[in-house]
Amino acid sequence: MCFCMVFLPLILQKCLISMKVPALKIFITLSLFIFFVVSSSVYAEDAKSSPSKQDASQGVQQDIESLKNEVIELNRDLFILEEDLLFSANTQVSVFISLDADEFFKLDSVQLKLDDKIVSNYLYTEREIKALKRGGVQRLYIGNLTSGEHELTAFFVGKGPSDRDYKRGTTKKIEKTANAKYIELKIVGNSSKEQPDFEVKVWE
Amino acid sequence: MWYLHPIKFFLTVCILYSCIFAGNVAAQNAAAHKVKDLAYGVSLYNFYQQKYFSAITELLVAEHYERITSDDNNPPLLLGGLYLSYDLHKQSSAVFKKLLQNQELEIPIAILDQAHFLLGKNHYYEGMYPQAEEQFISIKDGLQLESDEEKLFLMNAIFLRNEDFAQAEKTLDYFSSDSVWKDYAQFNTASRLIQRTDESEVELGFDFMEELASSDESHPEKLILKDKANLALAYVSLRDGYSELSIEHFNKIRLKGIETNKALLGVGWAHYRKDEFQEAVIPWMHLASSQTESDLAVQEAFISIPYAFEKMGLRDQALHHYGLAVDSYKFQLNETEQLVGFIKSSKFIEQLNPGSLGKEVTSAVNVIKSLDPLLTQYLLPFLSSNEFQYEAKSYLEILHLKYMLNHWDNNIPALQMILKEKRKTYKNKLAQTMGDESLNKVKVLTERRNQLVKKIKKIEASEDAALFAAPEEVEKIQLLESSEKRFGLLKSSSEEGLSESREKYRLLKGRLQWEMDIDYPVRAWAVKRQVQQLNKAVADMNSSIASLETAWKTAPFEFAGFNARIENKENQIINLKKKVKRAITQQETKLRVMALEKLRLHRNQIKLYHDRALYAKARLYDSLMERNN
Repeated sequence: MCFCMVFLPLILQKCLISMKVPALKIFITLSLFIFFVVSSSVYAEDAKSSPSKQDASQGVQQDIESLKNEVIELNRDLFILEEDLLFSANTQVSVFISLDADEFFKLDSVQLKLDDKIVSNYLYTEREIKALKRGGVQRLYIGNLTSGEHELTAFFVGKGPSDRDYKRGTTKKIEKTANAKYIELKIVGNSSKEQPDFEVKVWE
Repeated sequence: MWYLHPIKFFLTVCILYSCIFAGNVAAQNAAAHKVKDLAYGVSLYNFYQQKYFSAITELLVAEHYERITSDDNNPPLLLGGLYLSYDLHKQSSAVFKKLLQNQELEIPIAILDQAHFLLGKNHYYEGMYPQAEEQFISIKDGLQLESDEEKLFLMNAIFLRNEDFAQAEKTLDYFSSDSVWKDYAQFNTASRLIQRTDESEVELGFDFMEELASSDESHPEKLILKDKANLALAYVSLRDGYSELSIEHFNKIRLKGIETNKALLGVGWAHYRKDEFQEAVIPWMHLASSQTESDLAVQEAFISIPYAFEKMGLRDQALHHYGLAVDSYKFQLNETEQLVGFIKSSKFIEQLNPGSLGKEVTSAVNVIKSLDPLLTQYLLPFLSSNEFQYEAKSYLEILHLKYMLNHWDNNIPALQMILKEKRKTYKNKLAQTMGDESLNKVKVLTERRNQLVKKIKKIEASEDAALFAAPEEVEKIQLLESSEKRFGLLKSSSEEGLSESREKYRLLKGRLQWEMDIDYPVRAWAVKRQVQQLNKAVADMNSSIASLETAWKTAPFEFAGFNARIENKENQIINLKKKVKRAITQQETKLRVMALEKLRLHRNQIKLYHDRALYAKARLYDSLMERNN
């Protein structure tokens, strides 16, 4: 582009002096050619970019990278601080959702109850469903429970076989000990029944 | 900076949006449905949604709590890939280097190769080409096809940079035949070779370009490259005076593609060169009537039409079209003048971030949709360019950092309040517990247990089975003892009648003693077992008391620790907020300057056309006047 900017006014000046149509024709064809060369060559601009401009730009970019990293580290520390303060291991309970097969069930939302009290209602976006399908695990809930037996109930709402509205629930008694409890709600396909299965796995 | 490498937008957009992640994603897919670690899965969940900030945080938090327990090396591979995707190249390189340097672990080749590949990519984007090449060469055969092709593409780009055309050409042989990466690499190689001075290299460049230009693939990206190759060949033919050949190449370009306008302009010039002015006007007229007036090819068509009319001797029509061109250029100069004002105003920046508060963005593609239509009309190629997209993405990422900092800033008082509440609860509980009677009971119970143990030891030492007697046996013993006393009182009265009773008493006492002696080991064992259980209960009780006492002692220190951590983080937030504010201002200025510079170039071009059209119009008037005089 720099080349064009430097030489085009000169060429134009030449054309204006000669006042001939053929000269204008040459000008146009030449400018077109330059336009093409600049737009299609792969490494031309590299040589033309001024080093100081690149350095300054690199400096800003490095500042941004450093800033991003600093905020990530702060975010990590604050998450740890929050968890240490709010969810100590002896009372912590976390509930996760994973999707092992979706051929018989398209998940729309989940409702989670602990001891008959609703603790989470979650409506999924298309993007989140795709992430679950690819093997991602969603942390649906993190909270505190006292030691002893508790009842966990989850309702899954979505589209079942033949694209019909589908709502299923699953219940599990869990024993909260002095250690943090991790519970995984798994949606798995059951090809023999052509139905989805909802399993609860307690991680130790 | 890597994005300044002028691999044009169709190449770079592809690299940026598809390739960076393709390798990593492919690597994860195989194990995707086997949840080995919940924390790893949660990070993947964010990664698959391209929420790199959250995914990195999740993984770092999991690392802190040692929640990832699986033995393979996927977590560092994921972390390095996430840093790379979030454009934190230093951090990414550090993770991969650490992984590759860890000789103690038996790392599978597939993971090692992926680490080499991603580290090489990092080096490439940082402009460290020899190091990138070194990493790519270290790869054995564990890469998945997509990553392998991307590696070849990057190696080809490195060889071209080094002007090692022989090696660059060789890399083309290793691609799979239908690979789109091959076409990109071939186009780049051909473009460079055509510009060389060596005849054989130029010829080879043309061969490569011809091959692309005659491709019969239907892949959208390949079609774009085909158009690009035909355009290149057409303009080179036009330059060298082969108008007919150039028309052939122009005609192969699709009518609805990104190169259409340039092709229409060129085909007009090819006819013009052949003195086929009527034919030349047709594509230019088509361009002039299109809805893309701000395109520079269309601008050129506006002024080219009257040239052709002049050539045909149609001066009146030429004059009319010069007038139309001047009007159009004036109109566009006014519009671009308005745009300059718009870019300088706050509205431009506001439109870059429409309602995405708190949203983790991974591309700025949607930004174009919300921009002023006039801006996209004039600056679409620039707005679609990788350079702008990259800077706009950086800007949105900084806005997300600002959102996160504000979020935590708002949460700090809540954390402080929770800590205060915990302290208050602790004090209340402490007072309650200290006054609780059960603490005294614990002491009493412990004392009783100690006495009991002593007593049992004494019994064991004396081996007196009667001391382990059951309640009914105790009753019997008491009955026998009272009987014995009575025998003593009746001694003098009826000696004869008592002998039988004495005998019975002796037998009963003997039997009772015998039964207790027989049961003694069992009873002693049962008692010992009960003592053991009692000991455990007492130990548990004492442990609870000890734990309570520790909590009493350590809680104030823990509270102080939390308080210090909160204060520390609060200060960090304040400092980072200042930095983020500065970065936002810098980035806004950068985006404005970039847009204004592109607009300035565009305006200069229109001004040139305007002046030329105005001059030609005046010249024609003069000649018409001369003719009339």
